[in-house]
Amino acid sequence: MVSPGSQLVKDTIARDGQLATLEEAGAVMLSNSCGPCIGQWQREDIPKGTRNSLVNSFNRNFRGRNDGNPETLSFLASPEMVTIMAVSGKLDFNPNTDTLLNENGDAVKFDPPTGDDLPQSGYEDNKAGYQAPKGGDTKVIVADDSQRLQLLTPFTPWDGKDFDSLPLLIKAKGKCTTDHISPAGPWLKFRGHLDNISDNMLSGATNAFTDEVGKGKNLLTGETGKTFSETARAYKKEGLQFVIVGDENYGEGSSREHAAMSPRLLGCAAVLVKSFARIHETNLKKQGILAMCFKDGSDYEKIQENDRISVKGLTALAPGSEIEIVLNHADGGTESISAVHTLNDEQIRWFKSGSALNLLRSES
Amino acid sequence: MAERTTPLSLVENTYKKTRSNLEIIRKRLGRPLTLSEKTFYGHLIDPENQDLTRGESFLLLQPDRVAMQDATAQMAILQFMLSGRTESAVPATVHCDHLIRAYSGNDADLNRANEENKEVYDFLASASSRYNIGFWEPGAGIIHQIVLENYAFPGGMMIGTDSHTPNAGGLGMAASGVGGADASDVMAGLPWEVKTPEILGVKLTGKLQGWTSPKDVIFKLLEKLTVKGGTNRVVEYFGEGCESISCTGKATITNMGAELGATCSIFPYDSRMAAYLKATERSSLAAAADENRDILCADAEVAAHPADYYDMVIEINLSELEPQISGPHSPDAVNPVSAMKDKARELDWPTELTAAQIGSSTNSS
Repeated sequence: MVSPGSQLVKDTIARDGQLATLEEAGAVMLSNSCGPCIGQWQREDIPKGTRNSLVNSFNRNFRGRNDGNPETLSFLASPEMVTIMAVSGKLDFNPNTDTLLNENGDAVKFDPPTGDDLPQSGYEDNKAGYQAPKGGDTKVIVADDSQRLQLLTPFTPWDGKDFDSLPLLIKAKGKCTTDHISPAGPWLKFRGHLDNISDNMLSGATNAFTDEVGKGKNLLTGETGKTFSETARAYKKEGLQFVIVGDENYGEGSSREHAAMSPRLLGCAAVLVKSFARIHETNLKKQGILAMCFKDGSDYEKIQENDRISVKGLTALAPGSEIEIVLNHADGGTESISAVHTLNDEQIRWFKSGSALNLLRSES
Repeated sequence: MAERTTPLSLVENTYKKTRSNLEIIRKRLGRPLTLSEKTFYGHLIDPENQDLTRGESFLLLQPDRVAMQDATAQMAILQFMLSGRTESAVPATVHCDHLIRAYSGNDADLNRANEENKEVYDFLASASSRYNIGFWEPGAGIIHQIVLENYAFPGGMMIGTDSHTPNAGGLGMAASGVGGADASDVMAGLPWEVKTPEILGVKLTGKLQGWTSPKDVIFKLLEKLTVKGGTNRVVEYFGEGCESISCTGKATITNMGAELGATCSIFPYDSRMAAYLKATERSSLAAAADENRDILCADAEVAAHPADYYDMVIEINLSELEPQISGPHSPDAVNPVSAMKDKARELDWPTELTAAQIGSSTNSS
């Protein structure tokens, strides 16, 4: 199989003969796209679960990446080596020492490959495949009933008030990466549709009270075992925002923006953790969520399942200021704890505007 | 602003800005500079006050361009649309390469992709057109290869919403893979923020022989450093071996710098890059780079005393390098080809191959 990197490369090797040589040898020409290199390969010749070896000149060989079969052993090598290994059919063929039989039955060794590093008659550039922008009159096409795309609506600016007795959505325990907050896999097809993808919110996170993954309690109805997105949507219907509490290095992993956008869409006002992974902390700030750390990490233990959480003194929010948090426990008792934040002046304006993009838009 | 290739004026502006930034940085640091420092600091928004502590501070940078693939571009553009801007603040492109499934070959696969992904392609094409973003259709090519052929230039800086964006380092560009949020920020006019990288110097000596290929250089490095060895580091190549490797061979090496976890990988400007620029109808960019060679290579003192300027130095003698095979399951599980018979026997790997694949963005130029 051959995945040309571009139409330019494909047209050039078609003109100069390499493509015909490859096809003569039995190669299948794929489109000029990522294909099997990123797992976009609908493989049918080897049943899933069958142990087998393949070799390619791509860049990653994680288990299951190429053909979705965890039993496939994927090896990487240079394109020269992959080609000679394809000719020999062997994973362990060494062209420096091994021979193959030619059509006369003679054992022959291959000469090392030689060639031009640039095509002698230049690249064959047909200038195809590019659409130049036409500008401001173009209508952006998104179908109203699309399940994969949804235009975004600006988030609501901060109303200028302290957060008063917001329900705790989750107290996450242990590792809670962006993959736990916004898992990929089957959800990826909704990456352009924020409302649909938000059904995955926190579905990989561990509930500190029950050890359940992705499930917790709706404090309004008392129902347990509800997904966090269900509960968040139920709160939103009642006009209630909520608070997320997390452990150490909350939000580590990728810079996936959905891990901050989904909570914001479903009504998260604040995230309070022992510590943040920095990129996720910044993403939360950009989306207008108040990102805070416990001043004393052991206060994490004081958070109870049925807590309503108040965040005080927000009008005085300033770089380096401390924030007072009041935990209203179900038994009527209250505890006051301190939180810190890393918002600078600009980022405080993001928070007040409802998001960084809101602020940008108001200034443009 | 969105053109089919990078215009000379953009490159000249970058070199001018880099020079004025470096004048300030040289006064502040008072020592010779590596190539990575020249390129990163050359793109600083506030060179006077920026904290430059490696591995600790965060740099605020102004990249020269943004590239997005069709999967990650969706949310990046949807967010950008909320910024209130009428067009992207920096040159940007969208490339439809990720959503095409390989099944029965070029034509049928493309037709099917156009049907399955019509609404995504229609959205990306129309939004790109409106916001002055270049749009590369399905089938035109893989993002990193299109960037190398048309947009990358020595001394430039770009971000791309795909982990193998560092491919452009083969043409001397500091190119990093980022998330969609970073792309929408930069298109909206905000700076790109990245941890001040440590710099890993890789000295290449000798010349590749026989069956050995540029890809074996990065396999060797993966074996030495593992898939975590490049985290928060820029891999900077130097030494006389660099010029023995073609520009596209260099791109293979920098592409797979992503497997080290590196912020990006970069080669100094040389005759092989100039030849590739000329072959891809960009002679004027080669001429501009020739005139600005001093900011496209490390200072001479760095090559003479690398340990004083790099956080770590590794030397690879290309003449002694054997073809390598990596795998299975991790790119840093590397064996020389001569050891494969024993390894396969020992670990009971099936030696009959069921498929062999060449091409992709890693090796197809």
